[in-house]
Amino acid sequence: MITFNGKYFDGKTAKRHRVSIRFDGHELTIVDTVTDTETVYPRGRFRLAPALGKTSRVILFDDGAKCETADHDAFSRFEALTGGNRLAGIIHLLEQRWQLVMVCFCFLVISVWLFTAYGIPHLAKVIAENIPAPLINSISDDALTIMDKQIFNPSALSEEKRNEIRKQVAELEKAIASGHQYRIEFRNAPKIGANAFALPSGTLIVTDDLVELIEEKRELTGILLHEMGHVEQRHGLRMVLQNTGVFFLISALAGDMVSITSVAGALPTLLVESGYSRTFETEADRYAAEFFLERGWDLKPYETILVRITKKSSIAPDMLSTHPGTLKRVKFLQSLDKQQGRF
Amino acid sequence: MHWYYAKGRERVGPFNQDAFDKLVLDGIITEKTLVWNQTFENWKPYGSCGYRVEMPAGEIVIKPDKDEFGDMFGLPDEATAITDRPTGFQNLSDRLKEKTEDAPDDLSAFPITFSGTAGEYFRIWIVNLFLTIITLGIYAAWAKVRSKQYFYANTLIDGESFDYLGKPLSILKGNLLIAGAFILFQIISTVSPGVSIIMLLAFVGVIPFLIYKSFAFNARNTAYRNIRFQFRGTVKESYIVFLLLPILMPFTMWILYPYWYFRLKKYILQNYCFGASENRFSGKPSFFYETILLAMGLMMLISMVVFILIGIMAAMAAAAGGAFSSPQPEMKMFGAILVPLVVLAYLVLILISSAVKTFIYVKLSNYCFEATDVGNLRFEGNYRTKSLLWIKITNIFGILFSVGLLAPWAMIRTYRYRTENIVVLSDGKIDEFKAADGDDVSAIGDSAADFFDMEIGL
Repeated sequence: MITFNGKYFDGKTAKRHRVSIRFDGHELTIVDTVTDTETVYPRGRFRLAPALGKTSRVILFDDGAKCETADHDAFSRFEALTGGNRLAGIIHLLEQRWQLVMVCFCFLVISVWLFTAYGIPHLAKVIAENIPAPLINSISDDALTIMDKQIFNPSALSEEKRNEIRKQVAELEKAIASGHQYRIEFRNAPKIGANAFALPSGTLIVTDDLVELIEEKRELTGILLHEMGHVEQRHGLRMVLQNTGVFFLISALAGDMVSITSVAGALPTLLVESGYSRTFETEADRYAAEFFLERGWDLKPYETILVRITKKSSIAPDMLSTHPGTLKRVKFLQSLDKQQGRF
Repeated sequence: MHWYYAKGRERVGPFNQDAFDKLVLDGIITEKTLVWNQTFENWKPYGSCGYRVEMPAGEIVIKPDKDEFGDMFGLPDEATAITDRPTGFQNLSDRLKEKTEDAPDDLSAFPITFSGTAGEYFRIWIVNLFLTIITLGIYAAWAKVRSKQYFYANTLIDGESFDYLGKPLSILKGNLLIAGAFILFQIISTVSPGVSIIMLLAFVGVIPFLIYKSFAFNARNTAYRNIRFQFRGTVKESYIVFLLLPILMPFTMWILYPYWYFRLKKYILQNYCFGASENRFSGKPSFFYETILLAMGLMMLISMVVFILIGIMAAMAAAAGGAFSSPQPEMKMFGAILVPLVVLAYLVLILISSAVKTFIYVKLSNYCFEATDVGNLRFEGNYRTKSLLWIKITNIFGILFSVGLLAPWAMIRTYRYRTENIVVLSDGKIDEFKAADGDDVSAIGDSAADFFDMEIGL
């Protein structure tokens, strides 16, 4: 028989009843110390709320009433007898010991790192790769329409030049033979300078400034393959999925906090996302390099054009930039070359 | 002499002296009934109005206030019900003063106390985070319940605590729905930005409904002495407060802002009811306008002074550096001094706007507490701008320099200040609050509010 004192609230009025409670293993009897009325609840008509910090222990009844006691000792015995809250009890224990909390904290940090570096990218890759190519091809080019309004002007390239490049793209598409369909758009964007883009749908965009810099056909091939690599490997979709994953992760971590800390949360998000972006760029470089090497072509032209483009534009600090620095990229390409046993 | 008495919010009378005396003897006018005649400045309860009917010897005394006991739930105490007094509406502090001076002194003060500690909560918070991450977010629903219950169960009025009754499974359902919708939106944005914009507009249209649901869920799952609260606001009002007024605001050059703030507070405070009782919110937009305009004026004044000072300092530095006489090396020094000054100006501006926001919040919160009656409970707010600002600033620094680890400490501190500086004034009849009928509310609004960090409320 377990007995303890407490307070009873019937859930119908706010009146506080001082009661004594006893449990004999089968039923719970509540005795009002003032009126001596007894209320009996058989087992199964109530549940015990799990322990939380040092707060009073609570019994919640089926009829909406509640009982509260500060007698933690007796209540623990009561809890053990009814066999409830095993899992919650473990969690409560975890929260009570500083050493265990520190262990949790270490695991927390490790899991967050693992998720960010491996878990999320891997999951995103698996999901994105399982989307069939025809579905990808049907992605709309709304983004291009928006960019046309904001930053692009019509290209000034000759029709002859354009056809030449279109032919190049068609040849590459045939060689890749993956089911993805490509088309190329030409734009003039003096504010951006020499650059190339790929939309997830397979639309490639090159700026006039870039075409002007090309001295040799293979240079453009490298650029085109890099962009096609983004499409082939579904980088656009993976980026969105990964960013969503990171958003959820940061939200879960910073969930309780508000205002300034959500602004502070933006910084790690940005860093992580830039990190993802650089990984994708390296993957695209690798894709282009492998295509070259498979055909025994020299990687030098691709390296050269990268350097030439960079010389014409400003360089952003590495951490926040979406592309790895050009030096890094060239070094990476050279390392791939070396792997193939070439110099 | 003409007498009047108050029945609910109605004024009954006039009566001559004899008729009035009879009303008293018949028990129609009780100790608490508000009465008035031309000699009174304001309405007063009969028991303390200074006049007493002579009792016929040996007969019964004034009947006790059976009305108030029998039909107790939420009818505001007659002493607080009158708004249309003959002398016109007084401001609240006078009304409150009057109450304590003239009224029978059954109003007891119950300060709210908070017994939670940062250390204890930190441990709960870490374990919550850990379990949430390793369960891929599923545990988040349980973590939220645990966290909220910790704060509620440590918040005490008159020795009794609050309870959070939210069910983790309901919250989980809400979480999954919102997360799913968000992922869908992200994918559609990539595939078809046009459609995603439509989705976004649709979402904006649904926000007021979600907020309403979030209030309803929160209220229903908050209990004191095992009596649940109930949110009585309407969806229509939510659309006015959260869609209509915000849309109109830019068109009125933000003059509508204090009014909007007033409607927001009113929507919450008038409708967050305890059990079956009703609330009364007697705040007026004029006070909101006074406070906000005063604060804005102060801010502009202080900012101007700061900018002038910084401008002078910059000019002095420039002159000292001789930047106006010759180019290159001096320009460098000028730049070296100018840049930190600009950064300083920016930081000072942030500090000032933060102080002003806190000032507005403190003044309006105190005002709103005194303007709100929950059933027959009154409130007193004792927030101070200096204290709250200090807490806010030290919290920000603490969190930033501890990479977030001091967040639980910051939360506890803020919560403690905001609860322990409220006093509940009760005439001792808390026992009589009754539960309301009501159904459980879905958690979708609550999850949405959480997900998008919609911190609305007090």
